[in-house]
Amino acid sequence: MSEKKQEKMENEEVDLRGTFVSVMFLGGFIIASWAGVWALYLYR
Amino acid sequence: MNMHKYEKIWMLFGSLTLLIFLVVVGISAFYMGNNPPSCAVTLDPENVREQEPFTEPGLKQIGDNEYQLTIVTSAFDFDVGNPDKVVEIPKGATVHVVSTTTDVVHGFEIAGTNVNMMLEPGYISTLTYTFKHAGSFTLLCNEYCGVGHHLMTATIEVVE
Repeated sequence: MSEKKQEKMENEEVDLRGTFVSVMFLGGFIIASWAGVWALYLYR
Repeated sequence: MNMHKYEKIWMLFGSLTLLIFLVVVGISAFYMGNNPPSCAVTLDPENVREQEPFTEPGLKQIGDNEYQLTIVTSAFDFDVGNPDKVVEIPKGATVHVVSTTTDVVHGFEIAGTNVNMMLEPGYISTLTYTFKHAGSFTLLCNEYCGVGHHLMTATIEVVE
């Protein structure tokens, strides 16, 4: 097995589910904050 | 370069979010014409009160339910055209606020509304706002301008 192939296999094997959920959670928080500020702007 | 599937998803998500926000800013500026309150309209700060519209500060009706509110600002006073420093505005009226300062930088905020801008010597700041809610609002300076900064207020009464 070449070195490159081995690296690729290792990369796919990493379990990133927790990271994925955290990143999406952060993204959702940023979008929710933005929407909140915008709603406040429209109401006032 | 090989990337994890999840990595591709969140990079796409991040890029799309950035793109959407940039488009929103672009539409706001170029299509809806939103400008900063002081958009390079200048005057001579040495004799503000001799120049239109600052010769006559106060609220003036300029159309159907449309008003111009001219305010001359100086340390530590908002000249709204009367000594009580009270402006009465009918609820639902669209008001074009026009203001400038005769001395240092002042803030111009009507607390609880979107009216919030900076007044700089030599520049005329304008902002259009529709008063949707009735009540008593405080117009205040939110840029530190000197020892009387905290006393620098006026009152906006929005009446039914």
